[in-house]
Order: sequence, then C-alpha cells, then structure tokens
Amino acid sequence: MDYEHTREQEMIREAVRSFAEGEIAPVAQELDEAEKFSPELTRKMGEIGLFGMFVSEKYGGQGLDYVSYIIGVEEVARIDGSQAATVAAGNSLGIGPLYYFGTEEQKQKYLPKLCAGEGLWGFGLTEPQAGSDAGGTQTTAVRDGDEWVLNGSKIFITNAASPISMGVTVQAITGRRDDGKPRYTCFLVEHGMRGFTAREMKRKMMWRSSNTAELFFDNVRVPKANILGNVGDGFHQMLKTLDGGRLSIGAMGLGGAQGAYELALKYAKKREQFGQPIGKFQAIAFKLADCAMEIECARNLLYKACWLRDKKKPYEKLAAMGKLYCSETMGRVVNHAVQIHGGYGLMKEYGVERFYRDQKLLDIGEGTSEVQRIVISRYIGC
Amino acid sequence: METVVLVKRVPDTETLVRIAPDAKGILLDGARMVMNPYDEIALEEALRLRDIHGGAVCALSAGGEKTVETLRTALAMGADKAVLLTGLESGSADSLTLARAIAAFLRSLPFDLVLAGARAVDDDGYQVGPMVAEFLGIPQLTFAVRVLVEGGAVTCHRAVDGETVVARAALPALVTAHKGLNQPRFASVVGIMKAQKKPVETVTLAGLALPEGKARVETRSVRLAPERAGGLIIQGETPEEKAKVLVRALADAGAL
Ligand SMILES: Cc1cc2nc3c(=O)[nH]c(=O)nc-3n(C[C@H](O)[C@H](O)[C@H](O)COP(=O)(O)OP(=O)(O)OC[C@H]3O[C@@H](n4cnc5c(N)ncnc54)[C@H](O)[C@@H]3O)c2cc1C
Repeated sequence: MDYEHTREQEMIREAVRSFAEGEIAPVAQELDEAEKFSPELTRKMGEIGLFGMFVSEKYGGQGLDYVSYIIGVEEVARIDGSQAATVAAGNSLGIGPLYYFGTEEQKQKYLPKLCAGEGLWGFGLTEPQAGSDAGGTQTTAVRDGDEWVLNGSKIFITNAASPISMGVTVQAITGRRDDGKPRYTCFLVEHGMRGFTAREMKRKMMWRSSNTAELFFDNVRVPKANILGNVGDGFHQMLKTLDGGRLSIGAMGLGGAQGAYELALKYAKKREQFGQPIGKFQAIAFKLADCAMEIECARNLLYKACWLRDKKKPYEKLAAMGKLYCSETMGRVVNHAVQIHGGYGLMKEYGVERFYRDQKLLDIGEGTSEVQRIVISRYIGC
Repeated sequence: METVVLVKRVPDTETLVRIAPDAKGILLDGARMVMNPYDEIALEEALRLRDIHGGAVCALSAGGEKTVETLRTALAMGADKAVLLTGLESGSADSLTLARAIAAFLRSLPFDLVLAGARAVDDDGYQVGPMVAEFLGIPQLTFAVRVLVEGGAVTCHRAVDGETVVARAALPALVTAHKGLNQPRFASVVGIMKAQKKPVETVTLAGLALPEGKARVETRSVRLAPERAGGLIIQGETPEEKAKVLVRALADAGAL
C-alpha cells in the first residue's frame, strides 16, 4: 500500500496552487460580485494546462492520469468554486465525451482548441422536466436525409453560453426500442447553427462567475457527422460521463473544504476574545479538529476512487460515495468556518461566505445527494 | 548564449516562523518551501533572453536532497538543465563559503551570463551573487530592473535609491535581479512533464578542489521580532483636554 503521490503529481499540485493563489485569488471575489465569467482567466487556466489533462498529447492534451486532473480541480476549488466549475465541467462534461466517444474527425476538430482553454463545450442533459430523472428527456431528433432535426430545450448547462462557448453535446430521443422505451443519441450542436439559441442564466446564488445556460433548439439541422459515436449510444455515454464527472464534483468539495478550513484556522489563531485567541476555546478547536479529520477521510476516499479508475478497475460505486461524501464534508466545514468567523463570516470581505454559498450546488449538480444515495444503495444490493 | 541562474530553496514568506530549540536557526519541518521569489525573477529573465539569443539556461542550487524539488520547478518553468551542488548544507555555510563553492564550480563551465536574485527572502544577505562575481573576476551589475544583451555586453537599468542608473559591462558578467524586472511565469503542467525528462546533475563539493576555508560568520542566536505593543488612544472631551493628556503621556514615556 502506498499513500504517496508521484513526484509529478506533487509538482502539479504545487504549480496549480501557485497559479490559483497568484491569478485567481485576487479576482475571485470581484468576479463573484459582478456575476461575471472571465474568458481571460479561462485562457490562463488553459495556458498552465488545466484543460485536457487526461487527453492524449495528440489532441493537445497533457496525457496525464485522472489523479493529476483531480488534484488540479481540487487546488482551483481551494481558492474559487466558480473557476473550479469552469475547469471541472470543461473537462469532465465538455472534453470528456468528445474524447472518449467521438470519431477521429470530431476529436481533431474540437479538442485542440478546448484543451488550450480557448473554447468551451457544454453537456446538455438536464431539461426543465427532466432533472434527476434523466430518462424524462423530451428533446427529440428526427432524421431527414443526411441531417437530423432537433427540437426541445435544456436548462442549467455549464459553459454553454459564454463568449468562448463553441458547442454542446445534446442528448435527444431518436426513436423507441422494441420494449417501447426511448432510444437516446447524443448530438454535437455547434454555436451558430441555425435555430440554436443559448441564453445565459443570471442571478445565481453560487458559482456566480461560472457560465450557466438555457438552450433552445428550434428545428436545428445537425449533419450526420455530428452524431457522437453511434445512434442509440446516448444513454450509455451520459451514464459513463456522469461517473467521471462525479469525481470532479468530489474534487470541488474536497478543495472547497480545504480552502474554507484554512481560512477558519487562520482566523481562529488571530481573533481574540476574552483575552485569548478564540482557537484556544475548546468549542472552536474541536470544530477545527472535526474539519481536519473529515477532510482527511474525504481525500482518501476520493483519491482511492480516482486510483481505481486509473487502474481500470470498477470505480463507479466509490465515485458516487466520493461525490456525496466530499460535498457533504464541505457542507459541514463551511458551516463551521462561517461560525468561527462570527459576524465577519457573513461579510463579503472575508471570502468565507463565498465558500458557504458555492458549496450548496455540490449537493445538487451532477446527481443530487439523494440520487447518489440511490446509486450507492443499488451497488450494495438494497 | 549560455546562462547560469543561481536559485535558492527558501521557506514561503507566508510560513509561520518557529525558532529552533537551540535558538540558532528556524524550524523548517512542515514549512512550505519555494524558490526564492527574486531567483524566480532571475530565471524568468534568463528564459526571455534565451528566447531572443538562443543557447541554454542552467539552474544551479546548493543544498540537500530536497533542493532537487526546487531545481525541478526551475526546469518546469523552462530551464534546460540543472545542477545540484551538495555537501554544503545551508546553516553550516556562510555566504562566503557558498559563493566560493559556486564560483569554483562555475570555472568548469562555459557561460556568458550568470543571473541571481538580488536577495534571498530567508536570510536577506544580498551577498552570494556579488561574491561569486568577485571570485570569478567578472563584472557585476546588481539590482537590475531592466536587462539588455547586445554585442557581447550586458546593459542594465539598476534601481538605486529611487534613481535609475544605466550601466554596461562586457560578457561574461553577473547580474542580480530586482523586483520589477519582470513577472515570472508559472510552471505549466506541460512544463512539469517535460521537466521529468531533463537532466539534474549532482556535483559534490569534495570534487571541486576548494581551498581550505571555514565559515567566517557564525549565527549566535535567532529571535522573533518583538510583537508590536498596543497603541494608546487619547481620551478627552475637547481638543484642549486631549492635548493635555497627550503631553502628559509623552512626558511619562520620556519622549519630551
Ligand atoms: C449551476 C448548475 C450547473 C449545472 N450544470 C449542468 C450541466 O452542465 N449539464 C446538465 O445536464 N445539468 C446541469 N445542471 C443540472 C443539475 O444536474 C440538476 O439540477 C440536478 O440533476 C437536479 O435536477 P433538478 O434540478 O431538476 O431537481 P429535481 O430532479 O426536480 O429534484 C428535486 C428534489 O427531489 C429529489 N428527488 C428527485 N428524485 C428523487 C428520487 N427518486 N428519490 C428521492 N429524491 C428525489 C432531489 O434529490 C431533489 O432534492 C446544473 C445545475 C446547476 C444548478
């Protein structure tokens, strides 16, 4: 058994940490308050290699393992949830499906730009009527010669309406199986295709500088060449994508918990009441001890899930556990962190309230905590 | 153009400093160690000059096994090769011994330019760079905020006492880098992977045939700076009353 990262992984952590502290930390609060997505920061994140870490060098990626990628997301999330969302969704939901299921031409066409952080790609699964129940998709695609005609809409799609968004992978119903259930196919819909509109969703509580979109498809004609993989593969592709995506949401929980914990620890040593640092009061010290312990558990669970994936072993159950545990750990940690800051914790200047808000999405996105429990209970045979 | 950059591994300035039990140094276990920020500036300049003039950049550091990490960071930023000088643990060596060893090694190497940070943020000596130049008998230009290499010479803008002095020296020369010279790049993931394949050569002090020379400076004790005492807020209803209280307080403190 070996709990050490490789030298390369440690260096990646150090490099992303320096970058996040140097380039993201100074602007995170400002972008959050302005509810502004930053293409410049996204490009910088691309320059240091935060997009396409698990993609082969042939397509402009870095050819690294999944653990390295997760370390990258974790270190960005330690500073800012919004930028971590851009990276996690950009990789797991944008680049991932194209890389794992795309044809050679599709990979050549899209991946180099996406891996450079010059473009973003969305993943359109959720619809107004189909959230946790992804099988409730209503968007349809009907074949017409060498094209398919898409109609429907998607909601809450990350990275899909930014100035650098290039397109979206869209799941649509393309017929019925023999048992009457819908057959799903994924289409690569590019920005600029006639009938496709992407509208940015504003006034979010969290991830305020991450781009979220509502998408409308009104008789969008998509060429046959833009089918991801094969007709009918859609559902399987979505499930596979979500398994990987869970690890990156887990990394956001872990990194966010670490960031909030560090802020709280620092504050507890500095803030004095009743003539001593508040960290000397056991009530405060015990909260911090709990945070440290839970973060350690979360980290071990998540890294184990990534390690299984890198070893090509079944990792899906641990991915669901990792996503759930890391998100809920961050929930408890941010709650303690704000409490330790007292009234100042509620003020924007102290940054910790941003972690508090950003955490809530992690209980909801890419499968709610309830859905993760459903997944886990199936794996353990309930 | 062949450039050597002197880099030092130092504790991050954010690290909480703890004094060692013998009070002769600080405890470094658990501290986050980084490349001295001034050396990052020196390295960045070397990389930029290489882009213009070609050649190779070699990062050189003296220290223990862990120092290799700092050299790998230099390689990840873009240096072509790295040299670790071992057998000289910092703490036991003063700036003079260190500079003598570095100079002895550099004599075995063809170079046009040596770049170093103007200071190291841990012991703030400002000495190693200039001493190396002296031992090598080459010109030195310190506190550079702009560097230009042209026609076998280096021209620097030196920030001195709020003025800028423009100075020029023939190569080979040594330049120390000051804040404001450039904005160092971040090591990228691609750079990190390339760094794993670049060579790190280890050179032991014993192999350098150094003249005898013990450290001449000994650290007697290290103390934390005293905590700043709380200020005094002058109370009073009117300005006159406050002035009176202030004068009395100043007199009591022996300031008047
Ligand atoms: C900022 C943001 C970004 C997002 N990015 C993307 C994206 O890029 N791509 C994408 O496709 N989607 C994205 N989503 C959508 C997200 O995945 C969904 O919001 C999520 O899956 C939940 O769906 P819903 O909101 O419709 O909630 P619902 O499914 O309506 O759930 C409401 C509540 O009911 C519970 N519930 C539902 N079913 C069950 C059940 N069977 N048993 C017990 N409890 C149940 C849920 O857990 C939840 O508590 C994003 C969402 C947000 C907010």
